[in-house]
Amino acid sequence: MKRIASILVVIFLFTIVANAETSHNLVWSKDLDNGYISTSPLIVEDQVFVRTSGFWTGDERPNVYSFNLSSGVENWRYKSQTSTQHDMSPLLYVTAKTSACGDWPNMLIVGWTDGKVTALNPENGFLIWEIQTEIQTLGVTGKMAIDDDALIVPTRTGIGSYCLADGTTNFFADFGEIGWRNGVTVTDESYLIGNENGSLYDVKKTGEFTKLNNFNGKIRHAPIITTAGILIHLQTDGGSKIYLDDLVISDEGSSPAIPIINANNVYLATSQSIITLECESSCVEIERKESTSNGEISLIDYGDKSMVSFPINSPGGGWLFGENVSDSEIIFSEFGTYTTAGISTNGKGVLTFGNDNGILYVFSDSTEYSKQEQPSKIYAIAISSILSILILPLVFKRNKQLGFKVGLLVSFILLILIFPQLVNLWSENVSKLSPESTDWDDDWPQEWVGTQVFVIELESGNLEVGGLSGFTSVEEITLHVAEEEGLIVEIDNYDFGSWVISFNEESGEGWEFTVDGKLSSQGMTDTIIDEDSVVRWKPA
Amino acid sequence: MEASVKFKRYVLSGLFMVLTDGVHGPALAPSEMLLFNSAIIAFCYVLLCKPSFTKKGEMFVLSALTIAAAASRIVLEPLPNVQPLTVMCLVIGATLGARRGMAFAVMATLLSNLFLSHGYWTIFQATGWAIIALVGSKINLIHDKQIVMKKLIFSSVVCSILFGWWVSLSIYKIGMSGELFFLYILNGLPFDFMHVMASLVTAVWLAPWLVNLTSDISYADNRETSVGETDVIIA
Repeated sequence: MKRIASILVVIFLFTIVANAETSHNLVWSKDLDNGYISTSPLIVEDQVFVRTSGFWTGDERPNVYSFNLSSGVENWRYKSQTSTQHDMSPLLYVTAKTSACGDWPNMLIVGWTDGKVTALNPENGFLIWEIQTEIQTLGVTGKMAIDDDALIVPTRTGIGSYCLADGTTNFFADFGEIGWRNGVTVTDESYLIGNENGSLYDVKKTGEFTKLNNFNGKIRHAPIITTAGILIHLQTDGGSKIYLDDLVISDEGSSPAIPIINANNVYLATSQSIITLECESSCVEIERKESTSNGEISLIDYGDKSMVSFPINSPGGGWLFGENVSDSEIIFSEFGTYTTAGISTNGKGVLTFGNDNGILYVFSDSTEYSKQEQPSKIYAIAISSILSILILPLVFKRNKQLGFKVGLLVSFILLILIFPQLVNLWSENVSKLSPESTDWDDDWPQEWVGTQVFVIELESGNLEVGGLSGFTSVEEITLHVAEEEGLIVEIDNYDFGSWVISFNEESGEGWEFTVDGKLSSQGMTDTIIDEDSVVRWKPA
Repeated sequence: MEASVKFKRYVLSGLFMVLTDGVHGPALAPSEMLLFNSAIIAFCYVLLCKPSFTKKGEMFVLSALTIAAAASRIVLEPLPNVQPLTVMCLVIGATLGARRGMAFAVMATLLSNLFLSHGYWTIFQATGWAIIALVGSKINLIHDKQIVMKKLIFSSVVCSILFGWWVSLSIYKIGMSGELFFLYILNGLPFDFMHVMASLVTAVWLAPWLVNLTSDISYADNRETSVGETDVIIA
């Protein structure tokens, strides 16, 4: 017994040491338990605001949270009862003001995929006002903007202008075309917005609109205004193109990130590279680096420097961070997984960020903020270890039969705890026994050879996305494509992984997948894919 | 869909297209299904309680046991393949006899599946546990009002494994190769092991208590039966 007790003590101490090492420079972190963090948190004074997205289970809903910046204590959370999908419209903080259309206090504006726009009191999360925009499967997914006393909302099929005081509609312009993550840009005279049809609209501040361009692709960012013209990073089939007004200035890789401008420099990224263009009378590439970034590029005031960061959307995660692209380095990869949300800062050395695991981190090199451990895991191990050390020897000594019963019960509990890992390990080995096969369509582009290809056999036809890379599991690539393509996915989450109920509300008799034409013996969470795998979902 | 079935379906989601074909049975409207279930449950209740209809206390114990058995499946649903009902069927079969044990098994299965969801697998589960109750009634698990623990542990292990394989037949469809079905069984072995462990825990922790609870009913009924048999012998 003493020997067993000694081993348990060693394990306990090792666990504490291991956990302590990972907390270096971390002020605090929170596992938000539900969904991704797909858009940058916001730091406003002593609060961090963050929203969750991308979970599709029956009961769970997205939340907006407020945490105390220094302690990590949750101040409040606002839960949408009706929104379930891809809630990735960036949070917008508005300061109190008096204007022609009325007065408003400090507000946190949130756009939802159920078409609602809510104005929340940042102090307590109470609803100040709410408006309902139109829904076509989804609602608001793009970045909203402020124009004096108006909130400019890129809705699903158009653009709306609403009084910040009470949400009263100034105008709504309906293009009759679907938008997805299509942020809006405010200029002196008008608003610029694109959509999934590749249409670029110029909307006057009275609501009249004209189509400036009709590109052959998808516009999924707020258009960039440069001195050389309007810059669009257009997503095309299998790649992307950078347009300056009507001209293609560069052919690029797949899945473009949301570009950003800082003075004359425009930062862009794809699954293959990150790029800096310098735009004056024309736009010229001045920097390029191989990397994978598909989300929010952000500008950060860090110390006395202005930095740019690119979320790395690969298994290693982290952010490329630096004063410029060529000198940038990967930071925070130790907290990383696939990442599309940008980093946010308070300009005083505090950074906050979240990842696709739904974990929010606050990091600081300042001593103003105390370091805190996440105690729950350590406490659980400590308590169970201490109980085992104290109780088991007593039981075995006095009553062997009872000792057997207790031992059996403890073994059973431990088996339950390790069961998911046990099943996955077992299934991995069993899957090697199933027959080999392949899956390739000769109509697919040659560029897709050697890359990851994703197919869903929907009633309306196959959705086929190729040229992907860096995904390690069926779940990761599925949720990535769903997010990129605006697919609605309903998923049930279990301890043993995730289970697809429906794609685009097509549930039928369930869905099953193959990898390279081969049926997997594991669920999508644990089925590993290669860099040249073809993942195919089809109705069961 | 019941979690343990869903769990297996999940793990094997890519392995067989049969997973949903396997649950295709004759389609009944919800009201028809309710009527059908009610009829079976009522019939089994009669089989379970007979000849205790005049003894309210015994009927209460039998009803409570059945509900507890069904509830145990519902409450433990999040735990993969933890099925205390297997040992309960063995013990009830041993103490109350084959008829009552089998009725208990079918009722507990149907009642719990009202919450966990019905499917083609319900037939296999109900028949599986009914057979286990029958086995329990035949292998002399009770001696002098006490459970024979070694025999119970051995039979629990064997029944748990065979039950899993029996229920696995619910996913079999015509045309499925033996190799694929073998892979399915092979994949399910951790689940079978979990079932075995759960049965062992139930056997050592709950079975003695369950025997005590039902022994009064058992011995009262045995006395009635003995009198009848004695009469026959005398006659």
